[in-house]
Amino acid sequence: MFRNDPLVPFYALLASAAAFLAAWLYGRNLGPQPALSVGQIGLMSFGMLLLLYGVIGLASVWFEGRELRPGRRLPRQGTAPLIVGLLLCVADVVLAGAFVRLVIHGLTTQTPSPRAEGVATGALFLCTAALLAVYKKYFVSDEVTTDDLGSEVPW
Amino acid sequence: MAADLDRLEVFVDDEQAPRRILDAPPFDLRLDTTELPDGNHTLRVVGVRKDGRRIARTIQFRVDNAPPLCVEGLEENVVVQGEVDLTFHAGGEGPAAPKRSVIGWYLAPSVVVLGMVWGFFALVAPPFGAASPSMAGQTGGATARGSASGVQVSSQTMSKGKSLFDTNCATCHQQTGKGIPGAFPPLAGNENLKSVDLIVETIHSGHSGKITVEGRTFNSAMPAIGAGFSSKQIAAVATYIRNAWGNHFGPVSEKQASETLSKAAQPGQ
Repeated sequence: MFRNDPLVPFYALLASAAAFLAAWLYGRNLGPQPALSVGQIGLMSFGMLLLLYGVIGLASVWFEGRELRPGRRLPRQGTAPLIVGLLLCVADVVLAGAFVRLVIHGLTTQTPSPRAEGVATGALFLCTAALLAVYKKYFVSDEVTTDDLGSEVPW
Repeated sequence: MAADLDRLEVFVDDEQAPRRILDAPPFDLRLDTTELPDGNHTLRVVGVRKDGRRIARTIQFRVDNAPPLCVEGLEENVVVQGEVDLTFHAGGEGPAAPKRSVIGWYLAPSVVVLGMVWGFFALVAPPFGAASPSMAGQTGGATARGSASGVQVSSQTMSKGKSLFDTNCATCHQQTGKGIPGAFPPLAGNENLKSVDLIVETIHSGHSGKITVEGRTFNSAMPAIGAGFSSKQIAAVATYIRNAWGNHFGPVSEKQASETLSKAAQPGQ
């Protein structure tokens, strides 16, 4: 049996939050700056790395549970995941349209809005990731197999 | 085809009577294999048409409900020495996930870690901006602070103003605010900066003609550098040059800049 513990990814998220908090407080102590300092960039880089690690770990717990038992898992389809999937698809379409409109508006008026374009793109990717997660969790069959510790596969 | 179908009869192994009769869609059946002994079995589905004819399908399958046995502590073909602790899990029960209290394992560490980070910067580490000679040199110690007029100068406005100044003004007036002797007047210690109207109009519309600063006369023309600036940007630049390099003339608000520009734009003014 292999344990899929959420504690380690949670502490990764906690460390990530601490890194971002430290970067923000460090910047506040530095006073007005035209750009991010090297220290802030370093802290935020570690923060993003730990954030990614933690999110992947918690997503794994959500997909597969805390205990991985050998066997096949049939998809747990239902109305609710279907509706959530449809809503996420609609959100994707709306966000993609908003992004294109922002780009065209920026080009025609010569006043691009990179922040809004970035927010729309980020939200678009997050919606797509959520859609894939729902699809993986509720519409794809899964199989857990066991492997000896001394097997050739390195994990 | 389905319209001709009267019913489905489901048999397992050699049952004479059907285990289940399905006479309307959906033709779903949950087969509980724990009722069957482990081993080979046969599932037979017979479809009875309305005209009495029958169609059948037979599927062979194998039931294995024996509980999985898991051994922890020993792998196949490994070399062991001394005493070995083994743990057995049977009946599908794996090692139980440990029960953890939310407060002890999640909430308390979060508060402690984030509190330590905040505490370090708030209580231990001094504000670097005030002690940083490089920033003090560039912005005149431009953290949020009071001006001679007693009004607080926003550090954000100073930062924005510095950025605009460095891009648009520093070529002539220099980043040190000392200007170029004989060509471009200094801004550091320039008493003309007391006048909000003068500085806003100069940034927006430029300047021509003689101007005297600290007893020295300059006669070079300044282009309308800030003609394309918004009132907010003009206010930021004006605030910066009025409060950097040792100047303490106080901030210029966006409203002040806007009113000055409106007055200047009116005909006859």
